[in-house]
Amino acid sequence: MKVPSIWAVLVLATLLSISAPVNANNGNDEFNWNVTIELGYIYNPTLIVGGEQSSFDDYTSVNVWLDLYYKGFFIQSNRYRTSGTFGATELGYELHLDEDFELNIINKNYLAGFDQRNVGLVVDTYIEELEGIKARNFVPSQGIRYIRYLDESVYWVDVAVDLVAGRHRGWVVDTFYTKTTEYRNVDLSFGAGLTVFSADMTNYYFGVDQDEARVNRPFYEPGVGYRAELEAVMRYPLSQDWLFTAGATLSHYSNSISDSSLVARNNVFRFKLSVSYVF
Amino acid sequence: MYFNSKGFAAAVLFVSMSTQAQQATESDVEMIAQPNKCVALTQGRRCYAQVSISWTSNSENDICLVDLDNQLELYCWRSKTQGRYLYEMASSTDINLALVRKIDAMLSSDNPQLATTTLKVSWLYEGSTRKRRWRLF
Repeated sequence: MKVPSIWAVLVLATLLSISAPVNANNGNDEFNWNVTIELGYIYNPTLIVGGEQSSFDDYTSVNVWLDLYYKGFFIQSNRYRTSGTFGATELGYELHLDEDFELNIINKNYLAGFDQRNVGLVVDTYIEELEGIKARNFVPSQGIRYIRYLDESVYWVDVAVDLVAGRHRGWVVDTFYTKTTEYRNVDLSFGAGLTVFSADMTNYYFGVDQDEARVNRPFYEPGVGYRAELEAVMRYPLSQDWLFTAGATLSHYSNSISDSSLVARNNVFRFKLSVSYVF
Repeated sequence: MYFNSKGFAAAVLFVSMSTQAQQATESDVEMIAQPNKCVALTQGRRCYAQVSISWTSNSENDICLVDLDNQLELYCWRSKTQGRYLYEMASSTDINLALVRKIDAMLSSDNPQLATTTLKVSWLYEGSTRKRRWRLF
């Protein structure tokens, strides 16, 4: 999806900041929503080959985040939004909620889709290494999420399977722990996570079928794989409406994934500086 | 210059009484707080800011800066026409400050407030942080 120019977004954000009623928590316990426009710089070397950042647009992060809650149903925009796709929006339903933990039904993409012209950057381009491959779609998985709240920290476990789309029928177990420390008006969050992907899932995204194989792209079946992540994020309120965010994520992928000729690296370090307008 | 000795109280009171004709009135004293807003990330969280409070007066005064909410004397000046104070704000609610004459019962209703200012506390996110996005990417 093409993203409008940075200047258009700046003008839009400025106009909105002037005209929009400001209320970060829009609604009540039964219904509430939150929209955030984020603009920033992103260093984002893609996992998949052929996605090196080069143009100004590649380093520009423009996102519109939507969070919506209605009587237990929720939409959370979360990962993989730098390409502007809506494919990664989390849909869910709260089965149980109390002070200590949550139990949700979740529908979420755990790996980003790509094709021979787009591996996650803003602008589509010709990628020689991926010529002729089939598109890997954003395939949502459906499952259960358990969230445990502790003092200033939270961890969760997702167990999900591609039940609806049936593209790969693989399963995924996604765990993450994050602890937030307050220092004056700043939030500092440190997180660590581990995601295990079934062979069916890694084969769909990182495998090379016989009909895709070339001289420099051999047939490959990855098998079970994992991703381990470390993350650090700083958030600072610039005003009642604007938030500054700085953060970095280091993702390490297992050899079964990084050995694929579709994969450029086994360690992906991403960094982001952004300002967000919070409605 | 700061002074807080009770030993000087009688002398101060004498000076106060003898100079009452020249003392500042509410309209004579101006107070400016910069910044006068503090933004926290979430509602209910303590907000931190270093606030520069300055005041000017047409006449020399024995003046004290007080925290009206906590009934606290923050700083006093003697025979000054202006003053400046750095206030370390750490509060989850608005802070009301005032300049009053330096007398024994500074915070009594008999002692008029020469100037007041409010340090407003606001926030970006209302309510719980639980539903906030946890991940950077």
